[in-house]
Amino acid sequence: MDIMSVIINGLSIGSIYAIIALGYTMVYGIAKMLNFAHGDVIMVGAYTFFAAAHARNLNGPGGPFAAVLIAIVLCALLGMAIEFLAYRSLRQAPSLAVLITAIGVSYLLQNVMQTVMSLDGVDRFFKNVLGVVISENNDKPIFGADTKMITDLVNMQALDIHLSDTLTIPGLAIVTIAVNMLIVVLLSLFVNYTKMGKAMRSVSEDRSAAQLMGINVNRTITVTFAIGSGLAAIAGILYCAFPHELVPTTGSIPGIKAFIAAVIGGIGSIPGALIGGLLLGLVEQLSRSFLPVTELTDAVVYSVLIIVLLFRPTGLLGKKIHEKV
Amino acid sequence: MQNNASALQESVRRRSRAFSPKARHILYKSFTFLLVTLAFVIFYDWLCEGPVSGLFAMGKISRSVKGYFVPVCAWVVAAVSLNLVVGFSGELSLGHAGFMSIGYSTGIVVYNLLTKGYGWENIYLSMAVTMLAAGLMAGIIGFLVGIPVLRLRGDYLAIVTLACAEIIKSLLQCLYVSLDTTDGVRLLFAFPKNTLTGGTALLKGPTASAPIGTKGTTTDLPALYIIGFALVILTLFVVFNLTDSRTGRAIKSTRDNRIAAESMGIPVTRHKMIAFVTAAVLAGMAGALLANKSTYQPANFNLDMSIMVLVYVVLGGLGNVLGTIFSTTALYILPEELRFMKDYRMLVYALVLIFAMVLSNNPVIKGWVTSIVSLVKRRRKSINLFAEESRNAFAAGDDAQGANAREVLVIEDAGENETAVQPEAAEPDSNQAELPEEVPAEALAAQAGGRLTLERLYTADGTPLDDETQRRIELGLMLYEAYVDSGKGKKKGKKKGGGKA
Repeated sequence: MDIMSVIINGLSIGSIYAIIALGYTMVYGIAKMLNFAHGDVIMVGAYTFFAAAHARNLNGPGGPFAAVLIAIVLCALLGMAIEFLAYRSLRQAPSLAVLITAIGVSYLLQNVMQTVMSLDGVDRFFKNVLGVVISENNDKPIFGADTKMITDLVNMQALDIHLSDTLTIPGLAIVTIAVNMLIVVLLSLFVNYTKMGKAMRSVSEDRSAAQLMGINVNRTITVTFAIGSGLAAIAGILYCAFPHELVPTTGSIPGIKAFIAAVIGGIGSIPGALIGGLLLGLVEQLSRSFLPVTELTDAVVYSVLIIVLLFRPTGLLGKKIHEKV
Repeated sequence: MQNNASALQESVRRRSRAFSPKARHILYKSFTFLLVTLAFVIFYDWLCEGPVSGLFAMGKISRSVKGYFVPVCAWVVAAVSLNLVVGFSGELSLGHAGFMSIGYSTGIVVYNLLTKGYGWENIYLSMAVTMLAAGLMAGIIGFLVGIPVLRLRGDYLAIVTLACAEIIKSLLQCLYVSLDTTDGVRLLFAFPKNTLTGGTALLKGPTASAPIGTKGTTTDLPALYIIGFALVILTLFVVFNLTDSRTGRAIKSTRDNRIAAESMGIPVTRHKMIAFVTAAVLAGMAGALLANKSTYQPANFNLDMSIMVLVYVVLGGLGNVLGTIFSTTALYILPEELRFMKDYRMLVYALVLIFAMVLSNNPVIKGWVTSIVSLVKRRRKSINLFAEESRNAFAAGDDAQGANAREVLVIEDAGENETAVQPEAAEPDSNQAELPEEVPAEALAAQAGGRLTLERLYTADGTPLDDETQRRIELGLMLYEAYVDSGKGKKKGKKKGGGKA
């Protein structure tokens, strides 16, 4: 295996982790909670994209872009709903309770999706009873227990760059890395230079002081969840394009790895999420290629976390937290 | 003033209980042991189709039900030990399945080494040694994992325990062990690829291994059930003794307030380590017990399994051992028996987690629950509520409950005026211990009226209180004394306000 292509692969997987980690890091930094369900929002985003892109009215040339937009908006709404229904009533609760709730929400999303997507005949129901054909062709129903792939929807071979006979930079990798960089830049600008960004930073620093200064804490947290979940939708589409198959548990592994990336980079820090994500992606791809068995990849990836935390308990770019008694 | 008030409330609360907290705790522990033993006797008898099952007309036991007994014991042990970490030391561990998989693998190797290698016949002895080895191994790994993990806190700790379990899982997926008896008893190890030839394969990397606890080819279920029961009793014994000991109180104090515990000189990390390693040992033993079924492979000991055990703990109640036993049994058997539950098991688990947490932590909903409970207990607590009113009056009328308190005071003022001064003044006498349960405010105030006078009280900056406030405080104390006398007939010396209010 060519080391350059492994590195390119690692950077693009790492970019996806970084996008997810941004969602984790923002929510953790501002709401001070670990949103375990974030990984499953990825999965919902990918499913939404799949369904929207297959829908009959969206098969024109701009269809995939519209589907991406739909996925982002739906995931942002989902994130806000989760925050409102599950987490808002636990603002004052101990972190253990919030974490257990978040795990519950994660499993709820997975299982609701499992139940909904395995309903055979939903397409037929729409067609025969309501007279609406929701799928573009009947060979590929949107609902059903079969495994779904979105690779044919996200075809970017036109963007491939052939550097030599053996080395090609895939178009998807270019797009992923570019999207990641764009998101990081935009998010940094948003957090540092807008009024809402300022509100986010102040809530992150001291929630009650922010409230006393007239900042609507609940709205700030809701906006954070919306942004994080919208990013998760983008990450979900890119992750499944790579290709990973689309099943209800698709989101849990990238979710956990992205959280680890966020912790490695220093949770609450946007550049930290970027660095952590890229580092984790590189380590994962390198160990996958050069270790004798693939089962050991996870061991290496998770050891990176433990090693980093041993030497820097708040992550690479994390700030030391002084505790007030 | 506020401190005084809460001290009054606390003392009122304590007096209203039938048993002292210590007695209640001993009762709770004995009840748990009794219940577990009773359940064991009945179910063991059913398993062997003995006389008691005829008594309860439980009928012939089906094959599928037979299969529940031993796993239930294992899951109970796993859940109770996780409760030790989550409930008692207050750290969320998402890596419990990792320790179970250590115990599982160690169990398979040691059991086969003893029975096939050294030809041990006695299942109890070989299972006991197996469990000890499994617990020891899991304890060592738990200690090693605990060194980096327990330096962290909260969410970080949860995610690192998860990472450790994943590391354990992926290492075990690459471990191959076989037993070679051709030239003496030897264990052959291979890592990370299977290079072993010959011998009996014990651990086969990612694929499932042979079950243990078998006699020849059949599984000796009654014996395994006895072993499982012994493990449950051992777990209860260890957990109860640990949590009631000085160490256990230290663990709980680090949970309730780490900083306060640290400043009292309690080494936080060491105590968290004790809880963590104990839980790991017990989880390892539970894992070894699970190894009697061939349906597990290293990949099964994943996050899902840890979460499942966590659900048992959360539903049973954090820190509640008996509740955990009940919830584990119910949540293990129900999905197996009910078709609906089987399909939507994880969905139900997810809802259980969310609702248990939201219901027990949301102040609004908690308020509803409290008000329902107090409705039920209203009759018994009427006098207690009355004492609370007097406390409000006592805490003077300017805060949120001021209006209410003032109303009470008006009534009391009237009462005092009517009865005026009585000759024997000062000490209330013990005849009044016979007050009926429901005493109208006027009557009580009348009975108490004029008996208790304090020296002039002063505020913190040294100015004397005005007559109105002074009388309010005196009234509050009178009502409290009346309550104390009516409650237990136990006389408390006249409370002298400390001069400062």
